[in-house]
Amino acid sequence: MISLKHLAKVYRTDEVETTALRDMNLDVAKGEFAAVMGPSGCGKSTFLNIVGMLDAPSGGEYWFDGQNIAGYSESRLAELRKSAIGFVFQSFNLIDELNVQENVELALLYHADVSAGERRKRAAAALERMKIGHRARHMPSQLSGGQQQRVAIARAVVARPKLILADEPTGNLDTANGEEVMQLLTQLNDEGTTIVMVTHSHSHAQYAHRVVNLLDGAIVTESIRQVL
Amino acid sequence: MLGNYLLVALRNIARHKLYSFINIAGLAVGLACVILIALFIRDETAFDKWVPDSANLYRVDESFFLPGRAPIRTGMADFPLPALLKDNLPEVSGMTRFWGRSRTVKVGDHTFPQDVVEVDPDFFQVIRFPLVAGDPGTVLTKPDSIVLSQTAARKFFGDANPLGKTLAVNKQDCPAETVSCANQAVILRVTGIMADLPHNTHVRADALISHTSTASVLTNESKKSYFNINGFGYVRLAPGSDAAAVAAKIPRLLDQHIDVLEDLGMPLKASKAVQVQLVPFSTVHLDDSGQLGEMVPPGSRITLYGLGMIGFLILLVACFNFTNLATARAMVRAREIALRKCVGAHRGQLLTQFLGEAVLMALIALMLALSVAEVLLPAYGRFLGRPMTLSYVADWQLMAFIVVVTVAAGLLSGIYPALILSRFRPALALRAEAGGRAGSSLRSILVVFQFTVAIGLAIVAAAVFSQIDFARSQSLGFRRDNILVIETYRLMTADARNSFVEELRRHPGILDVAVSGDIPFSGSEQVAQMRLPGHPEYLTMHRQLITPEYFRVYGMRLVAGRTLSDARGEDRIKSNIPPGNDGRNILINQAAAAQFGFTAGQAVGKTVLYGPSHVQIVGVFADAQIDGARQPARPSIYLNDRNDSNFVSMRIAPGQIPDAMAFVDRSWRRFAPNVAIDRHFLNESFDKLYLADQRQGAMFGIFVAVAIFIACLGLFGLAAFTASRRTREIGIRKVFGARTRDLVFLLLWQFSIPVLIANAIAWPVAWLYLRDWLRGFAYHIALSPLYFAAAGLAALVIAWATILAHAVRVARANPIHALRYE
Repeated sequence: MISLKHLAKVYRTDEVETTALRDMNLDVAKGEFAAVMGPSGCGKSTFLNIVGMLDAPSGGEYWFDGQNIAGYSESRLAELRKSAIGFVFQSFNLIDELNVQENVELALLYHADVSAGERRKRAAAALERMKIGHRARHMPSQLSGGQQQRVAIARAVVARPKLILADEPTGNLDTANGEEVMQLLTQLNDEGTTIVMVTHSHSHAQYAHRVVNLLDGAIVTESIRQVL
Repeated sequence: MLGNYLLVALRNIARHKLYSFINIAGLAVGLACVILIALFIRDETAFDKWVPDSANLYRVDESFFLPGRAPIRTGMADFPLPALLKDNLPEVSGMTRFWGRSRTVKVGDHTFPQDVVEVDPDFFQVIRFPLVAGDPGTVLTKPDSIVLSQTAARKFFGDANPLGKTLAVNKQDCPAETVSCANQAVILRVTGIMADLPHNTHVRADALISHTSTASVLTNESKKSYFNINGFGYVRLAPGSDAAAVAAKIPRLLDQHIDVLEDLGMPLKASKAVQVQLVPFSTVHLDDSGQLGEMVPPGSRITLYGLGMIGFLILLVACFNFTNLATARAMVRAREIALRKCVGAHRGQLLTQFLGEAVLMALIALMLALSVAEVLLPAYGRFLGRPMTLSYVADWQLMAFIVVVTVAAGLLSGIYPALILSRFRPALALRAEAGGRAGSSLRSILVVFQFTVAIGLAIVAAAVFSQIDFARSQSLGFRRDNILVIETYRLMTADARNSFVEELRRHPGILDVAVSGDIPFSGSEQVAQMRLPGHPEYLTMHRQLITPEYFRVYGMRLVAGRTLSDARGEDRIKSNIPPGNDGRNILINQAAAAQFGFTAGQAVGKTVLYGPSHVQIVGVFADAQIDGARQPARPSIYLNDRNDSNFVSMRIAPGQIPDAMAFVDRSWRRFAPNVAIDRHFLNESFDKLYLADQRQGAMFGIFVAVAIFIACLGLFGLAAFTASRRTREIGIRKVFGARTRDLVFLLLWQFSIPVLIANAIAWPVAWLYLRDWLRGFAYHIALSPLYFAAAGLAALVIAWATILAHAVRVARANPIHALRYE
């Protein structure tokens, strides 16, 4: 699914040059659930932005689903992104002015082939699946953090992506809600969605098949959990 | 404490340059408009207030109600009326007549055309215009006295002391009420010098004589006639008398002294035919009841209210910019507020601080506004055609008013943001986020209001411009191009004028020459009483004396019958001796035919009564709107009377104007050597008709531009702010596949909503206003939906252009910056 070869990312300003990622090699297979860990500033976010096609690498190759996407145009990346990748953020990133249903529909809004009716249906189904359907008409500010994150996950899956990128999805949640979110992600993974998750939590990392540890922009260890 | 507030305020202004610029520039432009408008309003309302001791002074205005004719409201009075009031009403302590006539003044070898006003000998005691030299009680009592203004004295005598100097004035030698005479010169002695009249008086006078002077040209006939309205009358009431009570006594007086049957040939009660108003001297200028004959075009209270309203709206638009941006940016200040509260500031103290900042901003804007106003003042004066000045010391009341307005504007713009900001709870404020949501619905309302004002004004301006253009280009039923007119009233004998006309015809550049009793756009009116045989009721029509060439010179169209011809004796008429015209022929226009109850075709061959004489209608001409597009065509009769007509009109070939005019002047000197020529092109008087409208249109245009500019400034700032506030939302949308184009459209659409709502409000309001305004024109444009759509679309496009840069910048930003650390 994902194959990174000698991937590097350097941020340049007029005065400083910061290496965020260096010579990174990583393969994530289809249907895999990978967790990325590491201290603040180790390059996790950069890694996720590049994998999510929100940022371009400065060197190396990025193979996504069999295509080397380095050098793809902005609009081609946008096409690929919206059809293949779903995002879940630590701070949920729901739009305050839209209600729950509309927030989920947003992920289909820019799909020209999805009619308005179908968009409504699919968003409703995704919310049901995340057991938050009864809150469809509420505004995000009326929901608890756990509920908001379930909405965000509904939004991430509604376009049926092959890959879900989760950026500390439990970072803003209490233990119970965190566990629940992890259950949902595991369930999605069991249904065949590839998941790459950045997390600070060792216990939540245990849900993944594989844990990748980053330090100073490079992979230091990889541990593979035995699938029972 | 104050020092700290001031420091923070100034640093805020300096740090947030765009924000400060928008607030200060918007307010400054708005205040500059207010200053310019206030100066104009002050100038208009100050008219005649400077005249000493004018509280008990009134102008006598006569209105006429004649059968079959709309009321004629004039600002003038017949000659005997003011004396009648003084002789019979004890409250009237003084009166003067004021009849101006164009004359020719000769000093040495130089001749000057000069309006000379004939007044009563005690004029300067009734209207106390300041004299530089001479005694107001006696300055006009001698039969050869003349009083000159300083300007006129300088014109005639240079820098020499004019007192006691002599000059010659032309005077007709004809005894009776005729329009043609030869002229001789009468010697007058300068007995007084009047301080130049400033622009802000409704009176125009540079040379005054008594009507008892040897140089008077008013005939005894006109001094006795009650229906000859060719000058003004003023009365002074005794202190403490009630003008309304005095006016109430006038109708009885009129019934006792005026015999309408004898004067007009109609059996009417005088108080039914004539109404007299006493208009306070200082309010004459702003009396815009459509009266005829003003010396200075009158101002209009409605226009002043309208301008005041526009100034207020523009200022409000600028204030709302401040309110909008300040509430939108509330969170920028949140930390400061929280800290101040933590160290013990009360809400009241914070309120004071933020209101103070708003007022400080407004005062800075005032400094700029004053500079802008000073720079624009000369151009503004040229535009208004009068000197406009602003003196900080002498105009302290106006300055105080402007400062008060400025402070009020500051408080108004600052009050809402101050309330919001001072309400922040420190704990929440320190936790960041939440920013900019405070007052967001109020912001939308204010933006809607701003664009409502801008769009409404734009629609009105477009319609006003179109109407003026329409009125100017509309066919009035006659040609006005390349027509030169010369007044000859009592300046030449009839024989001399006829020879003069024959002489003019010899020049190849002069295509045709006609003589008539009146010319278009003169505003004057001669009434004729018409009747259908066997019908008792009178129809009042406009009597136009002409020669048969008149219709050719003016390019008028014959609709039915034939025109008049000098070759037929029965086609000529003696207009001044109404009896004895039986069997003569006349022409009428379509409006007159309609008033008689005929179609044009039916009217031809009909016999009607002109006074006591039976005359026949032989032809009907198409209506000519000789008063311009505002007034409908007058029902008119045309009488062929070469001898009593006194205006010479000629059509000049376009390429030969300078040559033909030189020829006209030379010929004039041969036939009237003692008198200066009084000539003008008809188009010039036409342009004067629309001068006020054009100014109004131009003013509207400028203010619309200002209002739109200020509204857009605010929108620009709001867009900048909103765009930055929405980077997170935009980022999310981008992550989920939105293209830059989608996002730009989204932002443009959201900013379009208030503009669209503004359209929905502005359209009906503008429509109602314009419907009423256009009713003032007899012929006017239709209110096409195009004006509304165009103004709305223009506002939308301008709004788009304003925010496009922000929208594109935000939409193109990389979403990871918006989403990274929340």
